[in-house]
Amino acid sequence: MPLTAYLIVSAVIFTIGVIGVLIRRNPLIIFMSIELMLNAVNLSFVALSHFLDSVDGQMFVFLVLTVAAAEVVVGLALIVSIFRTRHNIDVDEMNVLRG
Amino acid sequence: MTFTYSVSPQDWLGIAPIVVLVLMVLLTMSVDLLLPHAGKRSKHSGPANFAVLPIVALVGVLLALAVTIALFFIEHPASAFNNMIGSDNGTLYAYLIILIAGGLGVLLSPAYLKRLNLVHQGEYYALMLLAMTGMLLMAGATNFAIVFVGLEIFSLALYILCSFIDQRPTSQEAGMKYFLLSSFASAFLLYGISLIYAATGHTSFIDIQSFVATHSHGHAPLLLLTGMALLTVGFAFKVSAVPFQSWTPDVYQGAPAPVTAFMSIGTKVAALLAFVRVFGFMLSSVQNDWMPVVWGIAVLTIVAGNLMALGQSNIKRMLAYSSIAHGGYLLIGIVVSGAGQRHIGASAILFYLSCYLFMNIGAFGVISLLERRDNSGYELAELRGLWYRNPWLAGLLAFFLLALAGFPPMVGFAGKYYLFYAALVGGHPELLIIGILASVLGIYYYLRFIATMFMEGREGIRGTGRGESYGTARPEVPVTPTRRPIRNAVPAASSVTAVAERPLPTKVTSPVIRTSEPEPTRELEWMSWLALGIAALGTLVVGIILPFWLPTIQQAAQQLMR
Repeated sequence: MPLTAYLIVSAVIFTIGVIGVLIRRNPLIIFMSIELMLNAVNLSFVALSHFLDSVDGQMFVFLVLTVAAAEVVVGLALIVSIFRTRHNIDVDEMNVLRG
Repeated sequence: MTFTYSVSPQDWLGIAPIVVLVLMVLLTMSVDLLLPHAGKRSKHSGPANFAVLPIVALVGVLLALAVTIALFFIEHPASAFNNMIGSDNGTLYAYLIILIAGGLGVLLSPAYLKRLNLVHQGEYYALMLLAMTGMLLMAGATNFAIVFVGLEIFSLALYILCSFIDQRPTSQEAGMKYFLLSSFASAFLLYGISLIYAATGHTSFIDIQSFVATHSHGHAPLLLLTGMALLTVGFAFKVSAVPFQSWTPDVYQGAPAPVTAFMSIGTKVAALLAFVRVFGFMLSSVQNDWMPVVWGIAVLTIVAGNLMALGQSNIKRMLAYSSIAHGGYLLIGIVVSGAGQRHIGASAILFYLSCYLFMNIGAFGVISLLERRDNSGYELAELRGLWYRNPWLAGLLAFFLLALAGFPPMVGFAGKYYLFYAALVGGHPELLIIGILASVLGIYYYLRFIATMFMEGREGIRGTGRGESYGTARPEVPVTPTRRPIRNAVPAASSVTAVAERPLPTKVTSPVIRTSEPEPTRELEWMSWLALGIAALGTLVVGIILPFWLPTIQQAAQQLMR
């Protein structure tokens, strides 16, 4: 398969992630969409690393995976802590701060 | 696809400040475990002593500062680990700014944590140090891998720090908003990196620079162009430039004030250093492609930041918008760095950041003494007549606000002067004019708060002693010297007055906080006053002394853009 095919799939997945972040109101789903974006980037890095014959891309994939795992930890902890105080995690309800 | 690189001691020397900070993070967490804990329920118990952990963290920051300063004089290569991270003088200078900001942030924290009764200090100080580590990594990065890792290290630490007050809904909201928007922007940045990798086959700045210079003929190919656009989005978010600024006021308002003070400087230094390296150095041969965009973002940020600050009645929010506007001024430096005067642009950024550091931390530091648990205490209405209740705080706040507005003897003027001079030298006189007009606009909202503190609210205080806001007047019973002997050692502390003395009965917004707020304590406040003193001294002195060092800073910037 040509490199373009991989890059197109990656771009499509990334776009799905962006749309998900923009239209969904549940932080968990938004968060999943962000993970989708990160994994789209991983796909393009792996494909590029293979086609360019360089290790940089694969190194990046490991960094991104690690960071994504760390983000899950912090993000879910935040969501749980918010749910404990207001029993509702809809992002439209988070409107105390504005102006 | 084989790659070998043997690490030498010189490499470790280049990242010594970061190594020191990481070790101190571990030490802070260990000390937290060893300290005796207070409180019966494990959920609410923290170390009984509020002073040990900040001192450990402070020692860490001071050690890192000492190592950074020592590195200026020790012979070492300009980059470490196969061009992964820079260790040139420009990078070290940025390290100094971040570490001073972090040190002042740590100094502001103990009194705040004590007053708000936030017991989990081990995590707090460890995360502060970790955030500093990430900022140092991002500021020093000369490879996209390190940019990303540094960015995520400090972002993850700051998400937690912003939502640290777990009983304050605004704090949680700030953390959540910051988390969602920032990871969204990080994903864009990452996709931009992958596209640039696709276009050039490298992730190291210096390799990409030589590749682009030989292959582009002045214009970037489409793949590189798309990558640059996505990178611009990511960086613009991190420096809170205008189309991507919406998170800044909310996060700055909801986060604990010492964290806001620290992050308002630290994130800007880290992101701007990476920004100027990527665009001013790495993509300098295709500057015609990115310069109009960055120019537009800079102008938009300056104008919109100042305009939006005009209507704010909350000083923390006003300072957030003012920090957006200052970020816009700083973007002038990036525009200039692409205009053939690369080292002038970069040195203007370094110089402005070292000026901005003191006045901004000072202003947020005063707020950290005013802020109450339910995130009130610093509305315009509550600041009325602060001068008559607490002349020291009001005077310091007015001093820092005047510096931010750019009045001559203070640092704000020197920083703006050199930045606008850089705009002129770099061939962008229009940025000079826009910047000056916007600064004039800015004077209005700074003076508005000063006028409120000094000219209004006198009657309310003189009356029945029942002020319209918190603390009525100076406490009639001063702190007994026998109980807190340390207070006598600091002259400024003796005039501390009733800050956050009494919660407003009508101002309680959250159901969680209604549970009898404990009597606010003013223990450990000398640390905050020390930080404010350092910030005030810096605000006054740096603007006068640092200009004499400009050639050195320019030299450092030249190494940065090597």
